[in-house]
Amino acid sequence: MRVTLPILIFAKPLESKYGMSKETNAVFRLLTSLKLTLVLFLLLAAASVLGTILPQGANPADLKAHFGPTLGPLLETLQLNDLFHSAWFSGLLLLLGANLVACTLDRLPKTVRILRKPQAAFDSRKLSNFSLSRAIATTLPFETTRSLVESVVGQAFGQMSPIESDAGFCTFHESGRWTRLMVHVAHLSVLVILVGALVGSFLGFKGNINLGEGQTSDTVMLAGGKSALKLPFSLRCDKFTVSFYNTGAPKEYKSDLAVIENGRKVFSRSILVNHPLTFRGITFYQSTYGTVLKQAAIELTDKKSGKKIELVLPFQQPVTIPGDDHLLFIADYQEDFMGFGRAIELAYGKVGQQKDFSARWILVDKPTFHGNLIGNYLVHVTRAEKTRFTGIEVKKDPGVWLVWVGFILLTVAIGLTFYSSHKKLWVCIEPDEKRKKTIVTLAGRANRNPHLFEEKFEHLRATLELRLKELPSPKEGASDKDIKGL
Amino acid sequence: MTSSFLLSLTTFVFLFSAIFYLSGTIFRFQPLLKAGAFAGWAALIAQTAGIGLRWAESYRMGYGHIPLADMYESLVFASWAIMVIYLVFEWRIGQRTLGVFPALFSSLAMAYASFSKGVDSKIQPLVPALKSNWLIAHVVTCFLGYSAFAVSFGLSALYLARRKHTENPNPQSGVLGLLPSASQLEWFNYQMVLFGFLWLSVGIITGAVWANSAWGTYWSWDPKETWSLITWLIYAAVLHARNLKGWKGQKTAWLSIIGFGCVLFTYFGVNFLLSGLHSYARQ
Repeated sequence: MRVTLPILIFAKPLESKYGMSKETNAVFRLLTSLKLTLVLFLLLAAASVLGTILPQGANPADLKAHFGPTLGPLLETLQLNDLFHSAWFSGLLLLLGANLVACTLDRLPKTVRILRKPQAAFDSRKLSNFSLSRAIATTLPFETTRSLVESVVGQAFGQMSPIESDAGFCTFHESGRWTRLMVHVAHLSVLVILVGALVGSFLGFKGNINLGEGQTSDTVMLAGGKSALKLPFSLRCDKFTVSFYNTGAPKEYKSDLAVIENGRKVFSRSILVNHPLTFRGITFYQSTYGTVLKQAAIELTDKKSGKKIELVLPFQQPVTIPGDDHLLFIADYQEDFMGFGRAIELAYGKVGQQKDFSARWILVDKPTFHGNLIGNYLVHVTRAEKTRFTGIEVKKDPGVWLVWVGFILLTVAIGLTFYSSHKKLWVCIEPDEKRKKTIVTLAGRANRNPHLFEEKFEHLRATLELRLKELPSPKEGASDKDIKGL
Repeated sequence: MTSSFLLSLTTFVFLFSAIFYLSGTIFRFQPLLKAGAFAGWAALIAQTAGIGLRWAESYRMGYGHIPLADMYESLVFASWAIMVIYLVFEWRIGQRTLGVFPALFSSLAMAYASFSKGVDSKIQPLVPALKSNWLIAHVVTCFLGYSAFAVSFGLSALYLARRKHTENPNPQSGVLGLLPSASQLEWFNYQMVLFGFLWLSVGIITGAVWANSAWGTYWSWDPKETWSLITWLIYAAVLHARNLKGWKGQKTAWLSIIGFGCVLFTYFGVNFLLSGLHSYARQ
């Protein structure tokens, strides 16, 4: 009988253990199966391959243009243009999570029983049934053998505890019982990471703020660009600098930021790539930079009277036209508008009737263009002043600490699962009265890395044999050859 | 003598090592195998010196950094790591017949680094995104993983070859005569996959932590990230499959080979065929 049997005895049928019906049991069995795990691994891998080949984030029109009228819409229906956020991909991840939970529910109780199980009743005769079992016969008397064996084995394996035995003296060593838990820790850590990601996606946000030098804002454009979010404080960019190496490669992007709360500066700090700033759980990252229009000077010519008006329009700030009840503001600016060079988008309308504003693109580099007009005025942009802006990534992720915990647990648990093991070693010393000999039996087992354990075991056996031979035997010349495998 | 000249020389020493290993295995001649190991160690020492020299040169140029920042430097490190892992493994198991693939891979990586027009060996300063202490942890761990998988590829290929000839009535003769038994090769491959998996996991994790401090997100399904996850999933499948009787042996060997294909794609394919955040590696 192999000593592994007690584990099987404790694995009672699932129905009795959880009070399940046959159908639930079948589902549970499927969820606990290793085959499902493998299929999920391979499916997730295959899906991810697709996700890196197909253009992610492409809109339906692009898809149609790229893949034709049949394949394009099909890709969209299957959400293959946003695969990693699609329902079916999340479904696969969820199934993997369920697989992990089911496997843990199924196997953890068995492991816990092994951990708590007291040593089973011991029978020294069973030792020879172990796959790793060796016997050494010596002519030394029982007591001498015993003290030598105890010291050699103790040196190699550490603490030994004697066990009751029907014949002779037996001692036992066990270590690393707890390592059996590590595989469960590894599995649960994956769950912790998934939960952390979920927490982040539901309770956190991600967006960006673009700030020109000197500009203050508390509005974050959320990822996707469809909505904005107001922060409980404002951020001001005092200065933005880029430095370069002599090779021309960028060396450093730096934004000097100030946090403003209730109109007062709370503190200021510079952020660099890799050195973000966190305030009230919200983190600001140096992400990009660019140039933006600061203000433009324009000259309006009244089409009827020929009267000229000069105005300076700060970017996106309405200015009333003197002697008129209309407003003007620059809604947008482009460095190259449809190949015609710089252009500003002017919005024009009556004061107090913002909804009825009309807007037109005015070409800066083509002042004679016939379309450079708005309302009753011809427009000539005399000067366009630009300023640099810094692009700041804004993120709040209350789930990130769970992800970190999961990462640490996963690393430690993978290492310990594979590089530590539950080891057991039995040593029995019995006098063989008939042959006037003492028999030393060694047996051992490790649940992982059996080869490594075997090496250590063999080393112990060799040392023991050598040391037993070294001691003077009571009857000269009567030393016999060793018996192997009783 | 510049570091890149010294490093390019190791291409040939690794190649000699591979040739010695191969002929030693084929002709079942132990001294040739010893010569293979000797050449391997010699190349490794020269390469270590080359890496150290390059590190010092970068400081003399005024923008010193550990040489792990571009395609050239990563290829050199990959080549170095493959041989370190293999030679330590060889010393532990006391078998010299498994060195053909590792030495060949090291030589190929160095040849690509030194002689390809697409790979620039000039020392470049660090761009802002790479200025982080995570650079060392991330690159070293990832490449220890990749390199272990390169060795695992060789072991899997030899395992499959050995399996094909198990019917050989006289296993000690023939071209594969000196090779360890199929079951031993299977065990070696499992150990190598384990080692690689552990480091790849740490590599992905350090990458995620770094991405979080540089870009504000620990996972963005960037092609490089995604492909490293694909690789991780394949090797996770190998480790789990080994517990299923029907999957042990040939199927896991094939999975390891597919896994190494994923490693190669993660390393090269993503840079050249897909676009993403990880563009430093393209030069």
